[in-house]
Amino acid sequence: MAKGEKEIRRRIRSVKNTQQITRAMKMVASAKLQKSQGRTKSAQPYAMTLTRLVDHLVRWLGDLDHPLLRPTTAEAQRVILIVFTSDKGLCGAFNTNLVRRAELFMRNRPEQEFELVTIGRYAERYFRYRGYRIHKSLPAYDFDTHFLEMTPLFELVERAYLSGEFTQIWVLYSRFVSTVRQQATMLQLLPLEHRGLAEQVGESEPAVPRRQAAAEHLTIDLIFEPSPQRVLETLLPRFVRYSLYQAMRENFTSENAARMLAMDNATKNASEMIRSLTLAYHKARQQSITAELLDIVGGAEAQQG
Amino acid sequence: MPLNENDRSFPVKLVSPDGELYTARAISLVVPVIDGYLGVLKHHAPMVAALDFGELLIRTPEEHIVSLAVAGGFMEVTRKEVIILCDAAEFREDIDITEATKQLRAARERLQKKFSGVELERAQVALREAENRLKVARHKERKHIVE
Repeated sequence: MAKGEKEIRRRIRSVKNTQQITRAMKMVASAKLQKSQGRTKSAQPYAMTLTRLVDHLVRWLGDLDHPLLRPTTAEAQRVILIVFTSDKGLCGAFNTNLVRRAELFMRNRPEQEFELVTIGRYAERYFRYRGYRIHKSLPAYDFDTHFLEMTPLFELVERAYLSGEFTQIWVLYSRFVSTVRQQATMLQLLPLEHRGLAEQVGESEPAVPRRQAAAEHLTIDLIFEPSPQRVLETLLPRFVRYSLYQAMRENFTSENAARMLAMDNATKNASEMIRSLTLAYHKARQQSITAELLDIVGGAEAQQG
Repeated sequence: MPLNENDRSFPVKLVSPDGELYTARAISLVVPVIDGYLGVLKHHAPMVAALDFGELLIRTPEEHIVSLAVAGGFMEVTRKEVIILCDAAEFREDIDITEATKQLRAARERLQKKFSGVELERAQVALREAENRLKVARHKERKHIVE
C-alpha cells in the first residue's frame, strides 16, 4: 500500500472520531435544552402570578415609595453590569455575541462608570484580559440550580444598590427566542422602573390573559395581609430576584440551543469531510493499482519483445 | 365540573420559581403569614398575603393532611383558586432530620461569630430556615389544628 493511502485512511479515522464526539455533544446539549425548557414551562404559574400581583399592587398603591423603586438621579454614574456567559465553549458565537454587546453598551455610555459582575468563565477571561474593572466573578449556573442557590448573587446586587455605592444595576443575558435564534438582551434590574414594572416579567407569558386577569381583579376589593405596604416590601425584592433568576434560566437555555446548533453543524461538516476523504482514498488506491498493472504489463511486454 | 353546593373543596396550587410543587383540591389550608397562621376555606374573600417561614397544612377532600415546610413567599386567593408562591418548600416526609439538625447546628455556629449587616442577616435566615424544617419534621405525631 502506498504512503498516500495510509495517510488518508488515518485522517478518515480521525475525522470519524471527532464526529462521534460532536454528535455526542449535540445530544447532550439537546437533552439539556429540553429539560431546561420543561422547567421554564413548569415555573410559568409563578411568573404569571408574580406579574399579576406586582401589576395589581402598582395600581392599587398608586404612588409607591420603596428604595428599589427610587428613580434614577441625573448623576447616576456608577453602574454594575452583570454579564451572563457560559463556562464551556463550543457553542458557536454565543459568548462572543454577549461580550460584544456588553462592550458596545459600555462604550455608548462614556459618562457612566462600569463595574462588571461576570458569570461564566468566558466573560471573566475576556474582560480581565482587556483590563475592565471586575466587581466579582462567578462560575456559570447549571440547569438544576435552585432559586435559593442564587442567593449570594441576589445579596451582592441588593447590597451594591441599597448601600448607594451603585446607582444602577443592569443585566445582560441571552434571551431564548427559538432553537435557532437567541438574542443578547439588556435589562435594567435596578432601580425598577415604575411604569415598565409589569411588562418586565411578562416576557414569558401572553399579554392578553394577563390584562384580563388584572381587569378582573380591579373590580373586586382585595385584602392585603398584613398590609399593602408590607406585601409590597416583600414582593419587590422577590420580583428583582426572580428577574435575575429568569435571566439565568434563559441564558442557560440559549447556551444549549447554541451548542446544539454548533455541534450539529460540526457533525455535518465532518460527514462532508469523510465523504471527500473517502473519494480521495479510492482515487489514490485506484491509482496505485493502475500503476502496478502498468508495471506488470510493461514487464511482460519487455520479456516478449 | 357541575356546581355542587355541598362541595367544600377548592383548587390549590403551590409553585416555586423552580416549578410546580403541588396541585390538588383542598378543603382547608393553614398558611404561615407574617403575623401568625391564617386559615383559608372555600369562598374566602380575595386576598394577597405575605408568607413567613412556617408550616403549611393542606387538608384534602379525602381528609388527608399534607404538610410542608415553607420558606417565605406569597399567597393569592382568588375566586377560582388559591395560588401559593414560595421561595422553596419541602414535604414533611422528605425532610431529612439528621441533615436538618446539621444545618441548624451550622447556622448556630455561624451566629456565634460576630457578623454584621448582610452576613448577620443571612445567618439569621439560615437559622430560621433550619428551625422551621426541624419543627415541621417533628410535628408528625401532633394533632392537627385544621378543623
